[in-house]
This record gives sequence, C-alpha cells and structure tokens, in this order.
Amino acid sequence: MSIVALVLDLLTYGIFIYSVTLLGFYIFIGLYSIGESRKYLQRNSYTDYRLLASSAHVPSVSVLAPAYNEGATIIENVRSLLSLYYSNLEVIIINDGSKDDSLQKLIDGYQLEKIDFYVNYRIKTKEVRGVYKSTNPVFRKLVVVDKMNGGKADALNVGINVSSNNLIVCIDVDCILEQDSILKMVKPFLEETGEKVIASGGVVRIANSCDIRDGRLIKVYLPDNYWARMQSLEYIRAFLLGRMAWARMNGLLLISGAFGAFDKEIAMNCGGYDHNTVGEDMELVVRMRRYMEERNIPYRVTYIPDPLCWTEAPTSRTILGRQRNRWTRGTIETLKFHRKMFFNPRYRLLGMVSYPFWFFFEMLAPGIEFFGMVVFLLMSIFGRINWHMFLALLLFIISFGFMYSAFAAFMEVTTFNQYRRRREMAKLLLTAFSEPFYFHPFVVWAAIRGYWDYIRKKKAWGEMTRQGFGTPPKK
Amino acid sequence: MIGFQGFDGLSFLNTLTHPLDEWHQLKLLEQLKSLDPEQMPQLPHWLHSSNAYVVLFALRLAEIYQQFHVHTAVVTCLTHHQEKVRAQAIQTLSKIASPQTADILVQRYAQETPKNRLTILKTLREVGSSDQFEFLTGLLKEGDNEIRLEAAAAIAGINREGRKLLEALAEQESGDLRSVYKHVIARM
Repeated sequence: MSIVALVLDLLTYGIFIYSVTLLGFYIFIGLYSIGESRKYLQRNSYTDYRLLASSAHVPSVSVLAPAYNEGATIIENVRSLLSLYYSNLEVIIINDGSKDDSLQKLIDGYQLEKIDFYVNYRIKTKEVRGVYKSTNPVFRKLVVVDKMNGGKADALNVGINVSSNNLIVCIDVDCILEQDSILKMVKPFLEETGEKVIASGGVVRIANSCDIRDGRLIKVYLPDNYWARMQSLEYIRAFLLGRMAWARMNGLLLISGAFGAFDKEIAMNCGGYDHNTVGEDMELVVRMRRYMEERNIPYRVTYIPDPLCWTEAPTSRTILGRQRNRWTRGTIETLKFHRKMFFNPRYRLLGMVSYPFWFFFEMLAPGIEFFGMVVFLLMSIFGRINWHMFLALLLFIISFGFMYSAFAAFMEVTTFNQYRRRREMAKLLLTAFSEPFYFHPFVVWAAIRGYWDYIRKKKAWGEMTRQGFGTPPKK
Repeated sequence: MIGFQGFDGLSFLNTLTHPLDEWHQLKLLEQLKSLDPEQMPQLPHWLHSSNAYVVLFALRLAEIYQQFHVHTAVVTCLTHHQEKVRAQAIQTLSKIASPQTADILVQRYAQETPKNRLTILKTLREVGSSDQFEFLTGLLKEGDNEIRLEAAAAIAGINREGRKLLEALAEQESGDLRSVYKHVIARM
C-alpha cells in the first residue's frame, strides 16, 4: 500500500469514527433528554407561579441588563422588565457608555435623578459615572447605572457590584421575558438541599414575527424570515434536547447570556465575568464549576426548559455570520483558558465528559467538517471516491439530520407546544430539509472565519443590528 | 393538610426527617397566609429539631408570626452548626427582639462568618440602641467596605442620634469613607 493510500485511509476512517461517535452522542442526548422533560412537566404542572411570585417571602432578586446604544427601544425594554411578576425585584440597567441618547431617554422617561451611591468595586471594572433612581415611587425597583464603555462583561460586573441581592439574573435588555420567568428561574435555587445550586439557565426562543406589544409577548408565530426560522429549529434542538440532557447529567457548560441566574457570592468569588473573551457567558459558567470542583463542594448547574425568554434572531447572513463567528471565538477562548481540565479526572464529569465533548464536537466540529470537505474534493478529483458508498452515506446523514430535527419538533409539540398551528410545524419541518444544503454550510463557514479571526487575535464582538419588535405582524 | 387542619396541619414537622426545601416552605407559608395567626405551642420543639430544615422553617414561622415566646429558643439557634440556620435565627431576632437581643448579637459577631456578620449588622439597624454605637463606630475603621456600609447603615438606622453621628462623621471624612457615609445618608 502506498503512503498516499495509507494517509487517505487514515483520513477516511478517522472522519468516519469521529462521525459515528458524534451521531452516537446525538442519539444519547436525544433519548436522555426525554425523561428530564417529562419529569419537569410532571413536577410543575400543578404549581401556581403567579400566586407564589406575589409572595413577600420569595428571595430578593436583582435583574442585570446591560445596554449599549439601545436608545430606540430602551424605554419599552425597561417597561417590560418593570412589569415582571415578582414581588422582591431590583432591575438594574447598566448603560455601558452608549454613544446615543439611551441615558437621557431613561432619565426623562422614568424621572431619574443621580443619587449618592458608593460603588464597592469588589470586581474591578471601568469607572461608574453615576447611579440613578427614580423620584417616582412607581419605578422604585429601577436602578440605572451609567458607566464608561467596557463591553458586556464589564457592564455585567458593574451590575454585580451594584446589586443588593444574592441572586442575580443576567439578561439582554432587548429580550422579552415571560411574566413568571423570574420565579421559575429562581425555583432551582429554592429547591436546593444537598448540592449547592450555583447557576440556572433558561431557554431562549426566537421572537421574530411574534406579536409583541408594549414589551409583552401576545402571540407566538414561526418566523417568516428563512434564517430566523432555521434558528428557531436550531434553538429547539439545542435547548429542548441538548441542554436538557446535559442538565440531567449535571454537565451543562453553557448558560445563554440572554437569560441566566447566578449565585452572586460564587460568581464574585470567581472574579465575575471575564472581559478578555467574547464568550463571557460560557466562560463564567465553566469558571464557577471549576471553582466548586477545586474546592470539592457539591454543586449543580440547573436548567429550566420552559420558554421564558424571547429574543430577536439575526435575519441576514451578515449578522448571523458575525454572531456565529463570535460564538466560535468564545468557545475557543473559554476552552483555552480552562485547558487544565481536559481529560483531567480531578474535575470528574466536567473534565472527563463535558470539556472533551465541547472540545471535539463543538469547537473542532466545523474545522473537521471543513477539512472533510476539502479531502472529499481532492479524492473526487483523483478518482478515489466509492460513489455508491458515498451516496449511501450522504443519504444516511441527511436522513439522520432530518430525523433528529423532526424528533426535536415532536418533543416541542408534546411538551411546550409553542407553534400550535399545523401549518407552522409543517413549515418548520420543510425548513429542516434545506438545512444541510444551505444553512449548515453557511454556519460552518462562519465558524471557520471565527477560527481565522481568533488566530488574528480579533477581539471585537461584531455589530449586531436589530430590527426591534415594532409592528405586530398581520396573520 | 393545612387547608383542612390549619396550623395543626404542621404537626408533620414533629417527625419529619427528610429535607423541607425552601420552595416547599414558601408554598406552606402561602397556604398559612389565609389563616388567622395563632400561638404555635410546638414551635420550641421544632426549633430544637435534629432536622435543620425544620429548624429553618420554625425560625421563619417565629419571624413572620412574631412568636415572642420562643426568643430563648431562637437565641440557642445562633450556635447551630449550619450557617444558614444561624443567619435565619439572626433575622428572626429582629422581629422578636428583647432588650438583650442587640448585646447577644454583638457578642456573636466575632464568631460569625463574613456573610452572617452582615446579617447581624442589618439586624442591629432594627434592634440596636445607642449602646451599640461604640461597637459600630469601631467597625467603620475596618478595611472591608461592605462591613463599613452595613455598620454605617446600622448607626444611621438605629435612631436620630445615630443619623446625626453619621452626618458628623461624613463632614470629617474624605475619600472612600465619606462616599460610604453619603451613600447611607441618601437612603435614610
């Protein structure tokens, strides 16, 4: 056997084994998530959250919402947060040195005045220029912090420093939260008995095309835009299957920056959000877990599958590409910071399963896929492809991908069932057909660009323009 | 059970050996809300339970329903092995305080965890008197700004004399400490 043939065989079998392992994980995750979803629904079906949320005995919670150049929608966004149904709530808006009129709009809209406020910089951050409270008692929950620009992680750290409660909920200011979302997020912390709950993640759903009025979600619709619709499917798969299974194993590494609750004391002891990465949400969770593991303190990172947070997804290839590019860089940075845990038995499940999974199947996957495509092209040029086998495998992998999406859609219908019209589910499944030919190659390419930007040491977030939830759709 | 038997429905706490997490405690408290508050004769027994969750819940009941008759039993909980129970005991004492409570808390202060020290200072704001000013002004000289903030809030919160004392201190000081005092005064 020539060396070329040997190398090609190694590549072929290497990629084949990698793919089989990945598919094995997907099957395991899909099946393992079922029990957890059922358990959650059973345990929560008789709870009156509205009644409990108004109780004076619920723990106090601080909601931290960083805002940068959100002037167009900031008044509505804050109104939406202030209307959340929870009795002991503090809403902290951190104006991260916006260049627009966000702060002035808040001052005018909520009758704010600057107060004497001592900021205890327990986590080092950029300077706070002022803290504002409303003169109107109706807005007593609201605290607005104006600070020098330092990025999202820095703004969240300021929020942690300023907050007065031990439970913090970090959100994107432009997200739409369900009315009972805070209590549902806090519940795992209250259920803690043996293991300390250090963080709780929530589901993020796509709000494009939904009927949203005055900062409230009135009716859910499937996005009209192809890219947003595809992301709806992607999010259902990730949140309803992936994170559910990882939460069951207590191996969750990522809590979305758009909506997550944390134990402030642990977050502070870990040093808060790291502003040296664009994946600050994942990095904090990994660091908090590592902190607990290194101290041998039993802990859990929990996850709430209820659709509680709705966000606007990118609707253009440019913006989506930037987002995926940033996610890739964030993953690489986080895994690099914590490389000590890689297959390190000291970190138990975290080091032996969660970290390696993320390394091989999240971080490396786009690279391996891209490399596989290049090898495939070369082999086809040199006539070394067994086309019968290739077509069989191609058909199998496309069918598997579609079946997996269909299974996620089935789980959605049998659990939270947000898209109630049959036409919408049919449209979603039809969209799934196009994924391997259009959406998936695009996100792989965006990730490859993320690798490249990481090598070039690019630190920028990339501008994420949004259209906002202005006009309700006509359906 | 509570729906049918009222406060008597809580008798399951006598024999409970499993954890009663905060979520279930919250649900129980909401159920009890609709009932007329009454004396709870079993409360001292629950406060000495070997199940820390029962102690925690009993402390909450004592706080919410201001059960002054269990003051001594609550004070014994200040030496409980669980930090969370001690924290709740400190908080409960703010609602069922006797003239000796503030001194008891000041005596406990040095042996407590940093988190519970802050809880003691918060409680002193409600149960303290001018007798604690010396102790509290001593804490203002400590390096920890969180302690300084709570100690200053306690001084200003105790009575009018305390507020004047803090205002006078704010005039004398500069820098960080002055900001701490101003922060507290702005919230009075």
